Amino acid sequence: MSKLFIATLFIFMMNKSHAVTITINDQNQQPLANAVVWLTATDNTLQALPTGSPFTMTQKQRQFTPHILVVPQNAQVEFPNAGSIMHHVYSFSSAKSFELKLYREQPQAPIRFDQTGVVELGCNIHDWMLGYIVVVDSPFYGVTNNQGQIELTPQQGNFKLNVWHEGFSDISQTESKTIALTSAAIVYQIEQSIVPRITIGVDEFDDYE
Amino acid sequence: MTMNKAIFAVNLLGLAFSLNAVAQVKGLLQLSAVKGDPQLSWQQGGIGLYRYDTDNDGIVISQGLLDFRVDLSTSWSAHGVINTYQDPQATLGFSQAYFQYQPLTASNYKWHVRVGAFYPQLSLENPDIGWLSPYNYTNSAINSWVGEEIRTLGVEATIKRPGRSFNSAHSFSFVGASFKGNDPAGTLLSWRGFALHDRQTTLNESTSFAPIASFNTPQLQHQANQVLPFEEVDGRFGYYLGMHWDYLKKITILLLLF
Repeated sequence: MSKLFIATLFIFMMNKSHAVTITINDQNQQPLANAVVWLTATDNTLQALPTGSPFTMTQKQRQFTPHILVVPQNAQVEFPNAGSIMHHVYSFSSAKSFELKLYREQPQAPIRFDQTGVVELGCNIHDWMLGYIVVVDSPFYGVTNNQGQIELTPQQGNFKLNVWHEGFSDISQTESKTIALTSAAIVYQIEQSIVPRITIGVDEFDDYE
Repeated sequence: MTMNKAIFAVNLLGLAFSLNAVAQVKGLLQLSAVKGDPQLSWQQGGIGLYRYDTDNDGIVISQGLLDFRVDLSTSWSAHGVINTYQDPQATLGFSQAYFQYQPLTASNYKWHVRVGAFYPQLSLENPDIGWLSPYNYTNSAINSWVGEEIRTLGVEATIKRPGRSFNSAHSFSFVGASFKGNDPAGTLLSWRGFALHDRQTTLNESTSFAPIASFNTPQLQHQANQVLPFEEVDGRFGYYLGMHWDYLKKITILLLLF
């Protein structure tokens, strides 16, 4: 009986999701916010990617909201227009090249992002608008908060930790490192210097210029 | 002359809708409660410098316009602004009508071309729908005049270096245009001087001058008593070159050479 209990417990522990807090620091040991983090299994086990309701990248007050959207591969993303003005959203990124003319209250069909990578979004009418969709082959992903932290709950095991930030010198590249998920806290320091992104304000009268 | 005019305007109707996902139409109807200046307005043949005089006291339609954009293809779109006014008489006309070619390009530099009748981008005061000012009902003297007598009737090309593409706080645009028409520009400044208002001239409208005494002198007996500001007189092409410098959408400097 006790053997069965131990065996059951062991199996339970094997399959138990493991909450891990990952902290991303920059080269100066300062926490790095808005870094995209995702974990991919190193033993090539099939990681079921979540399917279901589409993700949303909204055009709101002449900005992409959220600024960075992380989606699993093959996810559908809707581009609703929450403003009264039209947008002409485009991407020339190799992971997904597309254009969408978004009129007020005229939703377009969602777009499927079937290749992993970084998709840089722009608007041909409002040339300061900038957003990113990061397509990852993992169900364990997130964006770090102002403390540079993200909590993920994968199964225990060996993973490749992948990190991307819009301040990378080449935004089509990611940094990665193999880690063993044994402790509840993992700290990763970025290997390159982060170029601060200039925040250009919003010109609410840009449409008629 | 004291400015005893009061305008309380309400934007009664701000409508925006899309048609079959290829067009965007916006409209504005602005009513103003006017207590006008006693000096007869320049619009009524007077020498008053304001749009309204005591004859207009009451509720007037100060702006009525439809602004449309029709997408013809990915890169081509047709734009127009139709204005209606009660003063000096009921009118309906286009103040702007042009085609725009703005291709999607993977380049960090963006460009577009406008062909037709439109305002050159020389006013920082009038960026709102239908070249209105979001800041005041009465334009500055210089922009009141631009609304009366300045329009590009030709081709304008713009190349932009957006700060976003270069992670820079500075954005630059370079503008070049060639146009016909608009030869009489400045006539109103000669015969009337600057005025203060928000009454734009539509493309086929004329503006009359006050019947000042010098029109009756022999030297000026052939002088017209009105101006059609957008007509072609000498058959020559005009041009302008411009540069816009923008810092974080907080500071914008425009340079324009006509």
